[in-house]
Amino acid sequence: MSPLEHPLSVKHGEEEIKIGDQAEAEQLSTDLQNPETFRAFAQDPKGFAGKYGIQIDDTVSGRLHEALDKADSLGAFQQDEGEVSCTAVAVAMGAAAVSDTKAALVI
Amino acid sequence: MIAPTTFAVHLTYTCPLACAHCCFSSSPQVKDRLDPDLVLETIEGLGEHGIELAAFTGGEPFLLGRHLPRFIRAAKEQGLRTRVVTSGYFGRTPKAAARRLGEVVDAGLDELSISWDDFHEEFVDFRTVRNVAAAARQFDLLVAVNVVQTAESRWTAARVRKELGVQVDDVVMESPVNLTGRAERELADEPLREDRALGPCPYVLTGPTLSAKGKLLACCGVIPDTERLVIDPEFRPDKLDADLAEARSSVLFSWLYLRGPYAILQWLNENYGVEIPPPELVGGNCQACKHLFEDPAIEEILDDALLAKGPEVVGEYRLLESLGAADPLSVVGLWSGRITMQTRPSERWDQAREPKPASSP
Repeated sequence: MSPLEHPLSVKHGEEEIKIGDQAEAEQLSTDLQNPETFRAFAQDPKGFAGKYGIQIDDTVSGRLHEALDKADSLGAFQQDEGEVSCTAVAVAMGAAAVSDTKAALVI
Repeated sequence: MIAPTTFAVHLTYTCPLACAHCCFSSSPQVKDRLDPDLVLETIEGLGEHGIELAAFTGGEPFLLGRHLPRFIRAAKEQGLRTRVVTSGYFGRTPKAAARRLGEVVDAGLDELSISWDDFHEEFVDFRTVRNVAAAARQFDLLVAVNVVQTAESRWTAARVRKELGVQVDDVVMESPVNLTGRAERELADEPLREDRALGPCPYVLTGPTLSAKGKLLACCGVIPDTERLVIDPEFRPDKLDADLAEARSSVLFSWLYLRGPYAILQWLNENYGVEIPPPELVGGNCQACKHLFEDPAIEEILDDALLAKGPEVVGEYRLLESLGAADPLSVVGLWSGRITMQTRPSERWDQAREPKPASSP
């Protein structure tokens, strides 16, 4: 499913929470393909996303800045490092008891 | 938003064993069991949802006898990979192990997951596990062994590998015990492993579960009676589409997926002042979830919190999707300091099965 096919809202009970609009979301996805724009995003993810009507908190903004700081482009960021072992990931996630594994032993 | 790739079926909570760490408190006395017709009808609808793998578990799935191969066959007809999770209790002799496994292999089983650790050892001899693993290899099944641990466990992944004579392609993994189910009562004083981590839950919505009580759960169902994690308390196969669609638009599930239950607890502590346990007392994500959903003080404020946090949860997911980093490995990687992207679960299995060069360790 393409990101742009996803709804721009979620529900909690009867409440529907909407964010941004379709045009802005499409523009964000497009703009992130541009290395220069991507660098601007990497410097300030929260401020950048806010221009497209997308709210994120300071915690994930800081984390993304840390993760993206050395990437020159979205393409570089998206390369699969392919080195994280199944076990390491599962343990890192605090994979629970037997039944965690029962559902999805290796992710 | 987040699409399921695995569908787990808790066929029964009955088990010949009664392990101290069992989150379902399974035992020979527990009688919860799904109607085989409901299981078959459910499986027959899974192929339409992009689900890649059907995992049959319990309790002990091999107690379903002739029904288990029927379920596997139905899943294969839907184009799914299939996994059975077992203690391997049936493999007392090589012949018995081969006979029982042969039935499920004939039906098309792809993966066998064996649960083995100090707790299982009280009921099953390791020779039994060795028989089952050996038979599984003869059938070219991918074998995985999961070793649940406390800080003082005698059985480790390394010991299993050594005593099993495990091949490179097999998977042996360790999981810290979560104090849920019977473990909450029987292992409360056990020291927890120090290397456990609390982070995003990669199973919520990517691995919904049909519980042995007939409930559709949002995740793998370690705490199967938790109302907040129930998508549909009276599941019917014809409701699967609507159930999954509704679950995908849940703020709570998206938040659990992006950050995990302990991060939610921390946010509630910072913004509402509710007391939360320190991380060193929480065995893992499922135990954190248990606290999140069983503390009455949290239940009182949780709906308000979800509405308040909703826009940022949706925004975060949306942004990660734009970055191509909304898959489970990427989300987990983001918070563990590593980014690994665009690799789907089935590819991980496939990579594990690829022949390794002779020089591989």
